[in-house]
Amino acid sequence: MSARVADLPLLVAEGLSKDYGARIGCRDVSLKIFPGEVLAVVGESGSGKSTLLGLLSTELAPDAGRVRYRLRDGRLADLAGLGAAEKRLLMRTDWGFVRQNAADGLRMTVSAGGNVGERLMAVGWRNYARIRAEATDWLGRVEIAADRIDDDPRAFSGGMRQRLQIARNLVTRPRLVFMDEPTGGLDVSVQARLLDLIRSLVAELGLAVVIVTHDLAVARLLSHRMVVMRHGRVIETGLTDQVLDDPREPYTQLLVSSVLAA
Amino acid sequence: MTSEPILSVDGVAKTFLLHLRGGARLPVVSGAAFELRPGECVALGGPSGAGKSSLLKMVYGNYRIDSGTIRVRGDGDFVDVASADPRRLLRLRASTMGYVSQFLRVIPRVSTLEVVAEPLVGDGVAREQALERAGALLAWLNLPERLWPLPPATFSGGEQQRVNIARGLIAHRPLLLMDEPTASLDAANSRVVVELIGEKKRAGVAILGIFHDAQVRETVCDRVIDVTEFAKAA
Repeated sequence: MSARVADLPLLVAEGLSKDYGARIGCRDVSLKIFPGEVLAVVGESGSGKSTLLGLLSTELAPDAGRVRYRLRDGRLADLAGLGAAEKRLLMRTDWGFVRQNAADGLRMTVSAGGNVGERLMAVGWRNYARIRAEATDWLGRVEIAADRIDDDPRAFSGGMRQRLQIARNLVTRPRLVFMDEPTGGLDVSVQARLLDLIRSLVAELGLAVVIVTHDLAVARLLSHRMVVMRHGRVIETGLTDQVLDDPREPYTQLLVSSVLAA
Repeated sequence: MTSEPILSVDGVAKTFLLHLRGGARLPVVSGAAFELRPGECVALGGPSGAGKSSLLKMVYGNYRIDSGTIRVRGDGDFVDVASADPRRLLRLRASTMGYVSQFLRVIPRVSTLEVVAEPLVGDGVAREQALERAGALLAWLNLPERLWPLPPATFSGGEQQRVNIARGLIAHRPLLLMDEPTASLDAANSRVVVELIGEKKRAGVAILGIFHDAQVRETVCDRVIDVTEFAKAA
C-alpha cells in the first residue's frame, strides 16, 4: 500500500516558462517529484536552475505553465489556485526552503532556539517548555551544542548557520524541501559534514528534495535522479549515476569532463 | 531449482558518442545476447578493452544502451532495464540486483561498519542486527576490527575492496554483478571471496562477473561468455 502512495507524484510541473525581459529564465520545463525522492537540478550559473526552483516553490510566478502539489488529503491542487493563507500554511507546514545564504533563510537577530521554535509556533505550538525541548532536540540532531541555544546566528560560523537553517526547516516535518546550493561557499571539510547530515536526515525522514547545485559531486552523493539545465531548458534527465557516468548531451559531457578529480 | 532465466540480454548494442572529441564514435558491443539462470556463475571473458565492464554496467542500468533489451526477473515479473523508468530501475536494484564495483565510492564521515550494513538497513533489517552481520562479514574477510569504526577513505586498495565486497554481498540479491572482486586481494582473501561466491550460488543467486584471476575463475565459474564475439559485430 505504501508503494502505491509512493507511486503518486507529490509535485507535478508542466510547461513552466519564465523570462526576464529579453533574457530567458526558464523555458518549457516539465517534471515530477515523488515522495522520498531527491532530485538534483544541475547546470552552470545562468542555466535557469534557480529560476526553476523559484517557480516550483511559487516564489516566482510563471509566464506559462503550472505547478500542482498533492495536499495531505490526496488532492492534486494547482498552486496558482490556492489562496494566500492556504499557500502560507503549506509553506510553513509541508515545505522547507534551505537557501545558499543562511541570512536569507534565518532570522539573524533571533536566537538559535527562537529560529527553530518560530516554525513550531507557526504551526500552532504554544507550550514554551515543549517548544524549547523540541528546539534543543533539533539543535542536537544538527550537531549544535545545547548551550548555544540562546546565541543568535550572527555568532555562528557558516557551517553552523547552514545546520541551523536545516533544523529550522525540518522541525515541522515537511514532505518537500527545496535546497539552493546548500553547501555553496563553505570549506570542503564543513561541506562534507553538512552533506552527510543532509543525507542521513533525508533518508531518515523520507523527505522529497529538489536540490539545485552546480557541484556534480554533491548531486552524486545526495540525489536519485538528475536534470541538467542549459539556457533555461532541461537538456538531459535520468538516474544520477547514468547521467554522470554515461552523459549523452554535448553540454553534459563537457560538465562531467570538466570536474577535477581529487 | 527453476530453469527460467533471471537475466536475459538480447540484441544489445552500445556506441559511445564523444562530442568533445569531434563526435568520435567508440563502438562497445553489438548484438550482445546471453542468459543467466539462478545458481550459476558466468564470467565475461576477453581482453582488456573488449567491453566487459561496460556490459556489466549496462546490465545494472548505469550505462544506457542504443538498442536491444536487458530483461531482469524481479518482484515476480520481467523488467527491461533499458526502457524502465528511473524509479522502477531503482526499485529493481534495491530488490534484485547487487553490484560489486572495483572501486569503493566513499561517503565522508560514514564508518566502515555502517557502509557495509547500509544495504541491509535499506531492506528493513534492524540497525543493531545489520551492524552485527556487517561485523561478522568483515571478520570473515579478515578486515581488522580496529578499522571498522573508521570511514574507509584512507584504507589500502585491498582493504577498500574487501569493504566493497562485504557491502555488495551482505544483503540477498538474486542477481549479482561483480567487476574483478579479487583484483587487489592476496591469496588468502581471494579464497574467502571464492567461499562467499560459492555460498551465494548455493543460495540460488545468479552471478555475472569479470574474474581476471584464472584460478578464481575456474573455481567459481560454470561458463565463460566471450565478449569479443559481441565486439566483432560492433
